[in-house]
Amino acid sequence: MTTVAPQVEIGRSTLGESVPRKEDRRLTQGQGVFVDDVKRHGMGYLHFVRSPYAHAHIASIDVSRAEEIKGVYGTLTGEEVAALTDPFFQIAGAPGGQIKDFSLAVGKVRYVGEPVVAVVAETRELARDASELVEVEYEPLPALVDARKALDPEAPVLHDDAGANLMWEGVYEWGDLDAAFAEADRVVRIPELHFHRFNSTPLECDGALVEYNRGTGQWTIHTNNQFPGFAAIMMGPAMRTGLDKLRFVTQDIGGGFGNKITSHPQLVVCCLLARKLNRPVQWTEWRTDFHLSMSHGNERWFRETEVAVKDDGTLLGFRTKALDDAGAWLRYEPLGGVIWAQVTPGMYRWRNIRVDFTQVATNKAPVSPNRGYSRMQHLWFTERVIDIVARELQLDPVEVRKRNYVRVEDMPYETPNGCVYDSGDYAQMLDIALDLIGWDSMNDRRADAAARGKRLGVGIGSTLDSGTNNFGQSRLINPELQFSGNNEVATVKLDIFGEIVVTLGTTPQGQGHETTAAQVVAEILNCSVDDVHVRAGHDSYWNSHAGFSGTYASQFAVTGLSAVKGATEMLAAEIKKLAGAVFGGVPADALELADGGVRIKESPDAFLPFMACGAIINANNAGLPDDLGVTLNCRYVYRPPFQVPDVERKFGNLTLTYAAQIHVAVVEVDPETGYYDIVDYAAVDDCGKRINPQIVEGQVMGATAQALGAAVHEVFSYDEDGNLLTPNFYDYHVPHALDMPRLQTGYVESPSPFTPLGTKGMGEGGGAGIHAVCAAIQDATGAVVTTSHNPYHRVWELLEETA
Amino acid sequence: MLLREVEYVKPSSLADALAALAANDGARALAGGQTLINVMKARAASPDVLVDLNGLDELKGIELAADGTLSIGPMTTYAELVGSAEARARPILGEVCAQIADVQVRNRGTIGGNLCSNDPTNHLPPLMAAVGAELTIAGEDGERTVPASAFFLGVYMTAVQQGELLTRITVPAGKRDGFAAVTLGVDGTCIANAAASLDGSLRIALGCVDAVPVLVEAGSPDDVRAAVRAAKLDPPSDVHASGAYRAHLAEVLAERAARQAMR
Repeated sequence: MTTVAPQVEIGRSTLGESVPRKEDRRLTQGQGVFVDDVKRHGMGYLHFVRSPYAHAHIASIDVSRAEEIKGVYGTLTGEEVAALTDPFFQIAGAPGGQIKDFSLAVGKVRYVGEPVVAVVAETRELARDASELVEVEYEPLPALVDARKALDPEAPVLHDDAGANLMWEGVYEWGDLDAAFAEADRVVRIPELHFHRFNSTPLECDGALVEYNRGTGQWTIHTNNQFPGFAAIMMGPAMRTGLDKLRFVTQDIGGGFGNKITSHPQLVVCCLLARKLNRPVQWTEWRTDFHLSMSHGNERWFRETEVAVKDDGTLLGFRTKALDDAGAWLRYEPLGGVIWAQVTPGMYRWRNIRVDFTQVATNKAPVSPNRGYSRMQHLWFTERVIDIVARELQLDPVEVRKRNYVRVEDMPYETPNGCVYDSGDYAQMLDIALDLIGWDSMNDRRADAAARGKRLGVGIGSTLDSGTNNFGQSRLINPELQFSGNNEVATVKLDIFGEIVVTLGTTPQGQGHETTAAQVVAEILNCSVDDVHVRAGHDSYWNSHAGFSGTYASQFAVTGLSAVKGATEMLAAEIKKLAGAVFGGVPADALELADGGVRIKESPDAFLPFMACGAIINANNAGLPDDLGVTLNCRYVYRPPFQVPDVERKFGNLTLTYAAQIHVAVVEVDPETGYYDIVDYAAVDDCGKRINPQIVEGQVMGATAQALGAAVHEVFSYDEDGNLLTPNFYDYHVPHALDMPRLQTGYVESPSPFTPLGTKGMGEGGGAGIHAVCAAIQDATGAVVTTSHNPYHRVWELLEETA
Repeated sequence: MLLREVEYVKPSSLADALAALAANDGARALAGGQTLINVMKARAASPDVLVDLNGLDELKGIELAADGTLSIGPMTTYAELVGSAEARARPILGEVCAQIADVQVRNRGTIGGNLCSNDPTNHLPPLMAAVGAELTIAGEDGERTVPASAFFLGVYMTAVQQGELLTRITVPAGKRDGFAAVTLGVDGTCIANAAASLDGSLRIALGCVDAVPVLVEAGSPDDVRAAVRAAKLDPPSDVHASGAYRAHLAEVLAERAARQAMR
């Protein structure tokens, strides 16, 4: 942990150094400002009345008893929402696009915990008390919980507007499947694999404080939504207002992991009530609310999988039918139906692939992006396939991987669907990981474990963290959509006293953007990291964001830092231009930046400190040349080099960078109980150029902890009536410090040839832990592991299978 | 956070506490609050009055008698018991208390609260049943003592009636004990547990498999599994374990606890 903040030496590169995080001082001293810290005079607290049923008609709602209580400011019902707003824009075309999604339930509830009525009162307690007086009469309907039954003719239908529970379907096929299966020595068949439902449980749940300005018709939304650009394009049309009327403000966010992308319905409710009640409205979501209703990760089934393989373990291709359970609403979906295609072949060289992708609605909480979004499910699938194939062919999983990994000499490698893996040496990473866990002595350790009555298992998880989306991939879901490319913004300026001030378009949630941005600025301006002031958080009124701004999808190290680099280079050029003029016509290439200013290389005494530069432009500019063209306030928009994908062939480069992770888990299973310990663990990452290795390592460790939690304990489990059985930390066990194994990390740096700094995004590779644990359990028990979630009782069942 | 409105009293004597509890059927004793407050937050229960026992010194303290008998005040926290020199006379007590939840919970949660809440997944009901503890219950009409085997009556129900308090836990001398559990995460909620004590024969108490600890006797560890099977357990299924898995764990853990007791 960072304990001291030494001055960073001026004039020395810090790119690649673990510079202490600028954010940590305020965060470790309790001086961060999170959304629940924001207070306003006279604000009312919002509490949601939520559905106790998974599926029911709403016969009537009576808020009168609640509204009679002194201190209750008012309520909002679905009926009002339906009158005051339009349904949210749907990413899907028909049939999913026909559903009508409002910010409160209208006419019907579709999952337990769905917001039905909002009550605002003088205190949180009173809002909750009053909520209990809201009378909602329900007429229960049969619930649909199992996605595999969603398309049965007798299945209850969630959305009459869509006609059935099918939300989206698409066939992805590349290469020549018939030829691959004809060439195969063997076809490995896997009837069914299941990736379970969980999410990343940020410590801070969602929240907002919303103010409405009657005079300007403008809302100020203090919120921890992590992708305000997306929230704005969802909310503006629904609320029938221009985006400039929606001001998003954030300082510190206590974790997001994608789970905080889809809070726009709740934000609309806050906005409507702030206007209706003419007072600020505050909403803080509780843990149980979050678990019940916000942002589950996509649950996915892979059925009728067939894999074409040669006897030597060469993988030729596969086909599978993916069935994705979106829950009750398509809040960010069906983008999960294409996002997985960023990593279509996993890390392997098979060229013939077919995926029939179907997404359905069920009476469960809506899904949303969750760290590793949609790629994690698919990569878990490909890793399961590799290990099941290896088992069937009685080959070493290490050898099967090495035989089929994309090789370093193939880089950059174009996948069958046109994605370009930019760089990396996966086999080398695997060797490092195996070395870290002591692969060479594994036979001895197996024997040692056996002598203690335990069964040892080793498992590998290989993943890619595809970063920097090409939003053109949304057209593979819906060709009518007019999104493509990506962008991010940074502004770097010299203020009047020479302060270097950086404004980002992003909404960091612990990723250390202030620190790494300062490292890049210091590198270019040749100054100390400590002299660079990066504004904390996000404010859309700073005018420093673009359509895709936000913090999501493993992209800051590429999009954010490239924008910072571009803006700083603009500023450096302007400083030289100004100094050249001040020095009486010295050309820029005769100048250099050093020691907090600009000087003439050949006569360093001719020195203009940044303070003088800032003062001249801002406050002492008489006599400067008319055509100087210098503001010392430079805004740069980074736009990655993307083309619009070919919608017909579903072909194109869907993301710019491919960080890679190889994790290896060693487990010891108690054969009598199914209980297991992860006794050794290695995580090797390659995210290209690392700007700040400590921040990278923090991401790796956190993501690994989440993966191990998901692999062993975490599941959103529903009973047949659609009740969530794990609605809070009583039954939803996230890993504590004591649950974590000894975690060894290693790294390789393969700079991306496609990014200005050689960086790759890297926040989401932790899913490798799930794959590694599954493989280790398969190794230890000898049974085929078919689900991503393997608590002890499941392992005991596997042991019973093989007994 | 966000409890229903509740009256709160903090009596300074046991007699006042008993009076406060007897005066209102909706009154509940507040010990460490590690269960009750969470239940109130969820509004699964909403007592009218909370009678806070934290000011009652007579419910605290651990005394070791010359014959090795331990007398434990029910308001003793797990952490106090773990740190108590006297409690080391029966080492299993501290060993088990040290694996309940986390430091924060152990600093607040109490021995008496664990017993009186009698959640079937709690650690201490089977442990006290196995070691043959006796529990003293006081009401306005006086005191009585019941063996642990008769103390637990149902899920969240014990012999402590409305208007009464558990005032003393008496644990006889002994060292040959064992405890085994499979938990949800390290030191987490028990999925199944078993406590064993050797006192002539082996007395084993199984947790998580029924509303109250299930007691079985066995002559030796080799006989334990058969004894558990003979108890014809029908444990509940939930999201963490099927009934069949719990029944299986009961056998395995009972034998492990028994073997530990024999060491």
